[in-house]
Amino acid sequence: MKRNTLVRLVGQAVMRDPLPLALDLLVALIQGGLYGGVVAALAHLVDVRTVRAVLLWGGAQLLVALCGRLRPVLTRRAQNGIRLALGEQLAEATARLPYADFERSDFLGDLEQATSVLHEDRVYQLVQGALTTVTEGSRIVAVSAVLVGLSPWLALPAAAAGAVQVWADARRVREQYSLYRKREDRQRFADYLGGLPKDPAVNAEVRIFGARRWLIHRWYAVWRGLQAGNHALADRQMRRDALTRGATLAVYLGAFAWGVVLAAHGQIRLGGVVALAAGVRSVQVATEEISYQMADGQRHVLHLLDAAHVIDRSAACLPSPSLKASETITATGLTYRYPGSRHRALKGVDLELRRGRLLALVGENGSGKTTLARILLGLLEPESGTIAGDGGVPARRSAVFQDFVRYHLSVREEVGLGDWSRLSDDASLWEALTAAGPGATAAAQLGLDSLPVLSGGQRQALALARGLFAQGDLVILDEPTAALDPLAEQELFGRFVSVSRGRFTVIVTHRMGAAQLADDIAVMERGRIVERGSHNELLMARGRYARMWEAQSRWYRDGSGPWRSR
Amino acid sequence: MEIQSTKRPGPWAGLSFVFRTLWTAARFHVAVDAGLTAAEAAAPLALLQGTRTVLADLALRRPPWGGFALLALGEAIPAFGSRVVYGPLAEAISDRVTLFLQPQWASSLLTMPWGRLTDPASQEILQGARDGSASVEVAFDLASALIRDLGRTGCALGFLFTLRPLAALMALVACCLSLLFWRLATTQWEEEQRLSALPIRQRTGVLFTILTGQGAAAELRIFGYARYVRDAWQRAIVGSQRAEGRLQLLMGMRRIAVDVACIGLTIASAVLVMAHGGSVAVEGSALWALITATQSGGDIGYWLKSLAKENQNAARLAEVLAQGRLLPRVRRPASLHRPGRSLRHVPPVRSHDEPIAALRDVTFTYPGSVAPAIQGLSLEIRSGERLALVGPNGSGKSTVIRLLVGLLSPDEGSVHRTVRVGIALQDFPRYRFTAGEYVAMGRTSWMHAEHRIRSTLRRAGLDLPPHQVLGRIRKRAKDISGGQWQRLALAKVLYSDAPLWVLDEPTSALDPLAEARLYGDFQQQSARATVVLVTHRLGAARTADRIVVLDGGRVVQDGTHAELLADRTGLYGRMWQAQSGWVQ
Repeated sequence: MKRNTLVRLVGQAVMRDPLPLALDLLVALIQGGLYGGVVAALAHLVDVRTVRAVLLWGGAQLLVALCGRLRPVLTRRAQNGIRLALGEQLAEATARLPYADFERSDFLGDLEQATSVLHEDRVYQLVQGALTTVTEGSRIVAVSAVLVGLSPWLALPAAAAGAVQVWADARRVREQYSLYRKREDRQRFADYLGGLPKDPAVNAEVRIFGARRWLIHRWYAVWRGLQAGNHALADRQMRRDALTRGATLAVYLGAFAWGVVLAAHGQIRLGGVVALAAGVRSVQVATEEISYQMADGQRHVLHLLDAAHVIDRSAACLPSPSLKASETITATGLTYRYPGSRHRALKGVDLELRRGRLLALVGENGSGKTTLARILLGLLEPESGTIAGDGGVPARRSAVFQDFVRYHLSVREEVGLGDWSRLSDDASLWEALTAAGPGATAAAQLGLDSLPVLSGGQRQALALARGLFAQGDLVILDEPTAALDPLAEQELFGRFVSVSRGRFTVIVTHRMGAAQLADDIAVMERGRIVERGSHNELLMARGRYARMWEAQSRWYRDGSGPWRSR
Repeated sequence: MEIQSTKRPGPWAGLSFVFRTLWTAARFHVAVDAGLTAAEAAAPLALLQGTRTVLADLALRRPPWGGFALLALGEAIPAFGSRVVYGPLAEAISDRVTLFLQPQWASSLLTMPWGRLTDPASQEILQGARDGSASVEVAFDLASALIRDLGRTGCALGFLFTLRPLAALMALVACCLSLLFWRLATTQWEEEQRLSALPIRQRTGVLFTILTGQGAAAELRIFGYARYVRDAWQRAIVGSQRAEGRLQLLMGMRRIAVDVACIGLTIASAVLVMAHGGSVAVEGSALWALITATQSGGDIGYWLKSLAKENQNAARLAEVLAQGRLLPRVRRPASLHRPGRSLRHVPPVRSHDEPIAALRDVTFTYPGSVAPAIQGLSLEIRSGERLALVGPNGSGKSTVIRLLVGLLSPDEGSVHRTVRVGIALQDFPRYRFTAGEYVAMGRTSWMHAEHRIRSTLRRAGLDLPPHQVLGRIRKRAKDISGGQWQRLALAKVLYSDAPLWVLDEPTSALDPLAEARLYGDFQQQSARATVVLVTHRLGAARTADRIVVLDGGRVVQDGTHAELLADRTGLYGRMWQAQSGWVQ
């Protein structure tokens, strides 16, 4: 299955723009044949001693060089064609994958491998390797023809030495790859540690706490551990190389001695000896190159298999069904367990959202609020239970998260991605920006198409503008005001209440003041909804909500506060 | 733990030792003289390779049979040696370079003026320095290739001169010309650099990350913009192809011009050699020397150019190294788990009069920004007091804290601080360490005091399973909830045992009950410390000994809650109204 996908993947990528590749193949063939020409010229040069031979040799050399310069220009186009075809496949596949996959570190490893196929142009390199193999192969054929003219037995040992090389290279690649996959986590951790001083926040903390030496030593210890594995691999590799190179060297020296013997018997002339040495070496270099390319290709194929894995995986995924709702959305018996976790994050949640009524989800940290929000948004597929609407048109979804995305695009796109069909609608873009507050309009002061440098607050404002611009029927705000000052915060919640008219709106928050504005409040605890009702009802019930309300409002009502007076 | 014994067995251990000695000499050069060039650092290795080739080329002086035999060896030995000897050696060197440079780089970054890290003007240097370590490694290869080719060209030209002086001169001209031409031609690196600087190229990267990255995975699914981004990405690729194509054609033409000129001159010299007549052996040797000279000579320009690039990054690294403090000696710590030591606790001196930290008439402007973030601000913090710093977004609270803890130094005015400080930043880093390590980072000299770590975690209200306290690297952030993270950040401050705490929004991600509990816990723990609390939650600020209200980089109000509230129209009064009106 994986292999079929791989073949299909490479095939599609190559066939996307085959013309430059075909031209490249032609150039590669010419280039390889010309190497033979050079050796032939060399053989004749010393014997024939004509200016014509020199010109022949020089011309061949020049053509080889020119072909070499021509190829990058050609292959660039081929490269882009492959990139486009592959990127399309990968983008489609990752977009189809369920969001839950992105919460698993092992899958992220696979995904990183898969996208490296594109970033590092692995298919292109595979093709390029194949072309190099063609060049070198034609070189071997051309040179061998010259060699056979001198002595028919010389091609055999050269090929034998090459075979050993192929074996050794293949072994090396397999070992390297398996070591790489085995230590991926630790390697990533070492890179992470190594990059920490660059992060200004980390840098500040490490300075203030005086943890500089410790941090550096921590990296050092992990890095040394990694190196030990590398060294073991390098040692094995060295031993293998000594063997293969020894064989190669023996063949070369043997061929040279053979040439000298032939010359001493007057069967060939001095130029023949030179051409013999150059030719044998040339065949050997070509075999080594082919072997290297084959090993390299094997490495690329191993990574490509990861990409094929991601694509296969996505093929089995169905798109989440759209939610059709006109007045109510009902969730019944929702349960969810994060992959790899022992406990359920949700243990049977029933919930009803009504159009035009703002629902606030409150509860302790880790009580399942965010999980529920994600399920409502269709990001996570519940383990059991259903979400159903009462029919009508499909409900568009929209959300603003606490850990919003930093896109690094123009303001138009940062906001317009919320609903890209209206990307060129400047009026509603400005409307969303204005609604998101002064931070958002400040970000756009250089124009909608500018690529501004943004502060954290401005990014948050843009994220909010994006959420508003989407004009979703189901809008979820997940703790969006953590970093806002009291005046800005109040303004934002006020605005959101007006947004909630005519929509399904949910706000996840720790600020009881904001929860109070909601029409309905659901209190969550350990994956269940334990209380629900309006603010006043819940206060009367004197349950968990009342306790939370009391904890937060106490400081504002009576004279108490977190710090006891001394 | 990850630590394993690091032995380097194998027959080349001796050679590696010799090199280590050479390298140690070179690396002290790096440390002492920040202006070291990568080429200098590469010299010892280059000599190894250069000498070998030079010897092989000397064989040309023994025509015909002996010379041919030596030539054959000269061709074969490097081919054999390059992988068997040079490969492992280069790897060992590269390890040593990383092991030496990375800690020094990290150390410099952690000691240079902190403001540089965020200063847009120094980003290029910082980025170059990050690649500097790799550049030094690459420079080894480049420099050794350069020296090899210099030696080879020199020998071949000398030999040719003894046979055919005129041809040697022409070959010399060809070499010089190719050097000149290389100045005109562009290398792969320059090409790549120019291409990747094209804005459209950068856009393709950004767009593809959105498509397949983890960061935008949720929003991509909610807003359903995958198709738009994919189309934009394809358009960007096609657009960049057009832009690249033109550039590439231009550079390709230049290179071809260089090739034509150099090969032309070589052919002319070859004709000259042939036209002169002489014995077959002499002619063959002369031709061989000619080809060697022009080919190696042509590569010299390439090596020089590539070295210049690596040198640039190495110079940036040197610049960064010069700005910070280096570590005199980096060694693997003996063990990360030593038994806990008994610890002495010194209670802080308490006196309400004596300021332990003070900002006097401080003005500060961020580099690259016009308006000052802080203007003529004065603030005294007395020992034992609890000070709350409040104000709207962008009023300069974070800047005051950064000045106070010494991350930034003021443009005007002065900052004094007499005690150690522990800090919990609002966007505190969520290190991928164990909880034990995370907390003990507060005071790394007590890294192994397991007992103390556990008791601190308990005091911070964290009841973590043992595998999270002292286990291996945490793989997933999910294991610790947002509230636990915030408690960890505070536990670190507790563990640091600093007399002055700076807490920046310590409860922003907490639910009300957890917030109340946390303040309750830390109320007791902070009894011995001076606390500066930065917060937007005025309820948490109200019982502080003193509340300082900032706006526009100045102190606009200063006093107790009751005093500040007396002015209903003041900033504090308005903010209090806004927040308390909600929850009453």
